[in-house]
Amino acid sequence: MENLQSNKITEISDDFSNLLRDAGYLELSACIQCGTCSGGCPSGRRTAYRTRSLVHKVHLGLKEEVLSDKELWFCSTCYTCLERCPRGVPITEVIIYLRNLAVQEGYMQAPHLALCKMFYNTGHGVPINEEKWSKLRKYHKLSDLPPTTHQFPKAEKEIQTLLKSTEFDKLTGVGDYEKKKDEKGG
Amino acid sequence: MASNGLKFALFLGCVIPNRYPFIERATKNVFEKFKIELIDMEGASCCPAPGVFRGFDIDTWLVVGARNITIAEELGVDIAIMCNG
Repeated sequence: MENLQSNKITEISDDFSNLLRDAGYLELSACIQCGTCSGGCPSGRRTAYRTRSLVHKVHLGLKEEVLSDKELWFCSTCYTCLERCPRGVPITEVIIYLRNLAVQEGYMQAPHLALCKMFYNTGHGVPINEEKWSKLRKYHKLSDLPPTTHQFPKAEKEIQTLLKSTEFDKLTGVGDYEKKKDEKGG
Repeated sequence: MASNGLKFALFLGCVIPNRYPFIERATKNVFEKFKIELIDMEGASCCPAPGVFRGFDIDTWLVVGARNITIAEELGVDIAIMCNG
């Protein structure tokens, strides 16, 4: 019941669970808080992340608490909870959607931003950014650069066009928006 | 390389070609042994990773993923994938 401390209950958002319902996650309201999700969670075995508790907070409408919590990012999307849930709640999908909401609210971790920059600039989340990786490719008798966006600058531009079209650059503050952020001193 | 007529477009992803190229090498060796031709998906990008990029923005994830599929569609073959996202 640690989540029900009076000082924490100040920012209840009635719209929060409705927001998830409107996004199509109707089954969320079927949750009976049995804890099967937390019990099978491989990430929860190593960290303080508790899936059941997260779903409970969503029901309580603790929007800021849920979206600002770093633990939201501890889920490895292995889908164990989703497969085991006796009420058929698509928990992993809900967590992914909650992460989208968190990013929209500006709650993003520094390593995630770095990842977005690499994705925007190279088309890869994990690019060849050091010579040693090309050397390793050569050792395995492969081309220095793979035939991906790395070999085709035009493809990199295509990715950037697509990321602009979905406003991913604006959302995460990469590309043109990275500069603007620097000017503001952010 | 002798071919048995089977062809696949090889989707590389990020981690395999850029960090664990031995998986790419091993895959190519296996396909060669089975006489299956692999075609490069020129200009393919990150899948993008469902655990991270879908978490940032579901629409972007779908759009960039769709672009990768169109590359294989233009080649007119099915995709062979090594990475599991």
